[in-house]
Amino acid sequence: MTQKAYSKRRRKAFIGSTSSESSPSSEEVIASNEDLLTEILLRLPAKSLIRFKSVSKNWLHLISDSHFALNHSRRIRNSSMNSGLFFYYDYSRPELHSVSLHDHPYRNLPTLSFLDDVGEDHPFWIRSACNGLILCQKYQIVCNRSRKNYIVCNPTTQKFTLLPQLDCLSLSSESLDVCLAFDPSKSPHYKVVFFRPCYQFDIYSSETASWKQITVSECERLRDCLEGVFWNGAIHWLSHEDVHFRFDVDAEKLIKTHNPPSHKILSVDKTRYFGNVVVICFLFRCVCEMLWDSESLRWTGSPSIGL
Amino acid sequence: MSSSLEKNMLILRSSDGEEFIVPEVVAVMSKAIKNMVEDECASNTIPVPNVDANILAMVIEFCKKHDESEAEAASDLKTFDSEFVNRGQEALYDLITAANFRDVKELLDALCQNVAEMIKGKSVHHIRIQFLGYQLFEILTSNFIWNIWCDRDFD
Repeated sequence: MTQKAYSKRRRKAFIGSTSSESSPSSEEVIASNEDLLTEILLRLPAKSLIRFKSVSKNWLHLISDSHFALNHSRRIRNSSMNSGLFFYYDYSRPELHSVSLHDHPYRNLPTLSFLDDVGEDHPFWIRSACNGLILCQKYQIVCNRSRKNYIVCNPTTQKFTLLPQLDCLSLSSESLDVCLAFDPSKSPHYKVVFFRPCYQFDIYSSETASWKQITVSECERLRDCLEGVFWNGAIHWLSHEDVHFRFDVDAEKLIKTHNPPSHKILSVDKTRYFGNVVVICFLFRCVCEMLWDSESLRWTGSPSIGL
Repeated sequence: MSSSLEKNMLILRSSDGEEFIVPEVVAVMSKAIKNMVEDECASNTIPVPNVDANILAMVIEFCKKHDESEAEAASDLKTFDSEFVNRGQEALYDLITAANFRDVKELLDALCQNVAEMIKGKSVHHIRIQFLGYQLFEILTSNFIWNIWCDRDFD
């Protein structure tokens, strides 16, 4: 610190043009107080923070800190907006389309083209998405057998991780339900949860970069369920039999509850998960939106979405 | 002199010696003062070093408003906050330093939010000049010349 101050003084002395400014201004006092500077930086939008990383080494250090990132995402949690959607017109062809939810429809639409070069030249499928991260599946031919590779990527930073191979998953032909569990307001790490019909869960954790297998004893089948949705620390499944399953990702427990009757759900098979915290009935263009409130165990409708 | 004061009043003395009579509930919105009062290490007159009369008066005004309007609509308070922090830069930064030093959370919140709004669209060069004391000359000159100079200075 003394060295830093000394350096600043020397620089000023060298310039010598505005020597009247011998004591630092209030702004400089604030910037030299890390607690205060952090408080201010926490209130900036992410775009400004990325730009301000190049202000100085100290600012870079503060902004890159993982605790800072955690606090920042907690703070903006309620104000964060989905910037766009990826979707397939036709599930038999892996042609990915995207639509922007911003005011300027064609500006800064992210692409996943950076994944084309990963592994072999096979198309990839999006299997799951959660709070800005996307899980993709890509085929690879090894010894005349097709293997599945799983990739977790961030379309904003274009960074990706190829998950380590787990033979029972990558060679398996059965269709597995897979869900990405990522809540940046709680932890910078994500988990990928594969669910197999025999009540076995294969969980990849980015914190340990390893797989873990657990089996839950549950007599009823978790078949005919919709795709799982990660929300509020748990993966939720709706089934046709009015049963709601949730898998607590941290506690690694499967919990079953019966759905309360709701006249607002016309048909479960018209329901799709489409956002961070909402389950949306999606009929080509948004018609209505349902929110499952797991605290009070009831459905709430919110007709306010406009696409 | 304390006997002449009502029981729940405190005197705050600014760095330049001016005294303010403030209800205790208002004064203890500053955590630093609250701690002093709770530890009973404060007499009725509490010195507030590093904060001059001008700034102290502003801080007290803010705390009074927040204390009075606890029951008032949050939107009214928000309007007051945004008007309160909307002042000259010099006063703004002095206020932040005071709010941080005296640990007045609500004021610090409002002020930091205001500074964030002000700088969020600024360029990196602007930030360097404003917050790190860089001179325009330095910005215009290539960085590495300065690094060589600074490194040589230390040896």
